[in-house]
Amino acid sequence: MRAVRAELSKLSTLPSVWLAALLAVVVPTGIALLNRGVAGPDRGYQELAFGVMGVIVLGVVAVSSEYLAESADSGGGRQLTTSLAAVPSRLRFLAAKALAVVLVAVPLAFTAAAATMGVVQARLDAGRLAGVVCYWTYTALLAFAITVLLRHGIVPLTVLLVNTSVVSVTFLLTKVTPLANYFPDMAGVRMFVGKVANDDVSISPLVGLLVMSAWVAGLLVLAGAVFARRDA
Amino acid sequence: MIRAELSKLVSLPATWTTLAWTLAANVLLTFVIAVGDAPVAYSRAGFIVLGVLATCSEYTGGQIRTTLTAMPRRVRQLAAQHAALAVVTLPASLVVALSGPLITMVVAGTPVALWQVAETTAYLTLLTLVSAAVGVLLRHTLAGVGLLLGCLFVAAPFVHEYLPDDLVTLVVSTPVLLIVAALAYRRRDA
Repeated sequence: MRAVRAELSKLSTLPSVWLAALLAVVVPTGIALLNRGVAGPDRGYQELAFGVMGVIVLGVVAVSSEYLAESADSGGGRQLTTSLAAVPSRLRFLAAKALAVVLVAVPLAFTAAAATMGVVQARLDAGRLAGVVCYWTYTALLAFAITVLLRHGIVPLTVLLVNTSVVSVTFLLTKVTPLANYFPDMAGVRMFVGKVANDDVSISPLVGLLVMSAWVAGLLVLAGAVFARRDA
Repeated sequence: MIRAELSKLVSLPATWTTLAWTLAANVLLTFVIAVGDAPVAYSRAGFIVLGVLATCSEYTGGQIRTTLTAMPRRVRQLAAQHAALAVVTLPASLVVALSGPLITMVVAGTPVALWQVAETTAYLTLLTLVSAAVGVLLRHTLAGVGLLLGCLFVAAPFVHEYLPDDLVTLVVSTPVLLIVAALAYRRRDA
């Protein structure tokens, strides 16, 4: 528990995390404001699907900040060596960090959902709200796990942010093969968005949840295994 | 001066990996989307990374102090850095801009629209220079890349109708951002 508290304190002192929190709330509400005229059953939820940008930054920065080398005149060290000196068990360290990311992502998702739904003035359905929170948290963990594997933030940040654009790359891939519907973002979105733009494959919210859970669990286990074995 | 900046830029492994991945992503996406230069809408992310890296790499470690000791005139140094970046980016963006239409020509037989290729090349080069200017302002690779990608990929599609054509927006915003970056760079501590 102390490790989690330490991780939370590290997160709360990172300027990028505050920026991420701001983005997480401003992006979906802003898009919802611009889209006010568009009606439909997915009003608001569609915006929340694009709004994951903030939690992506959160997940990436939580890890990449550990690997960032200080400038030469302040020793050229990295946060990670200090962190592992304090919490030597690699898996405990990683679990504490992942938990801290979840603890930040969940309230962010609630806030963003409330703000966005306030803007579009739609009633918030409990089941779909759970879907939004789940999708946001999983996306943060996905970014987290990929960054652990790559030890640098730039590639996961670029790939994941490009993929949050309106017509995402994974969506384009569904035109090539229906299998692309089982990418974590394509499947996860079904937890709360009824119809993904002119799709012909229908995935139920439950299957979406299971598919995305499998991706996140798989990547986290892989990240844990790699992180435990390799040099810091 | 430009030669010095150029040698720094080409000796950065990240420059080459970024360009290689951008080209690879563009070629792959061409097969997925299978229309002309539409994949550039995604692979332009690589040029953003390149531009931000070019200026932010000065700030990881103390390269910036060495640079400014050798070239104390800040605005001139910044201009040389951007010129060097343009020298590398122009051919690279031409290759990327050509790759999509060339593949389409080979596969589907549609002729390459040269004017469009030229426009795309200009777009990508200017985008790289803007990214470099943003990199100078923010001095953090991740922050710069995050901000630009957020603007271009998440925000831009929604405010698109209020803006003129992409290339026109860039032609206007590039000099503005370059001047802002130069002013900030000149005034503040390295």
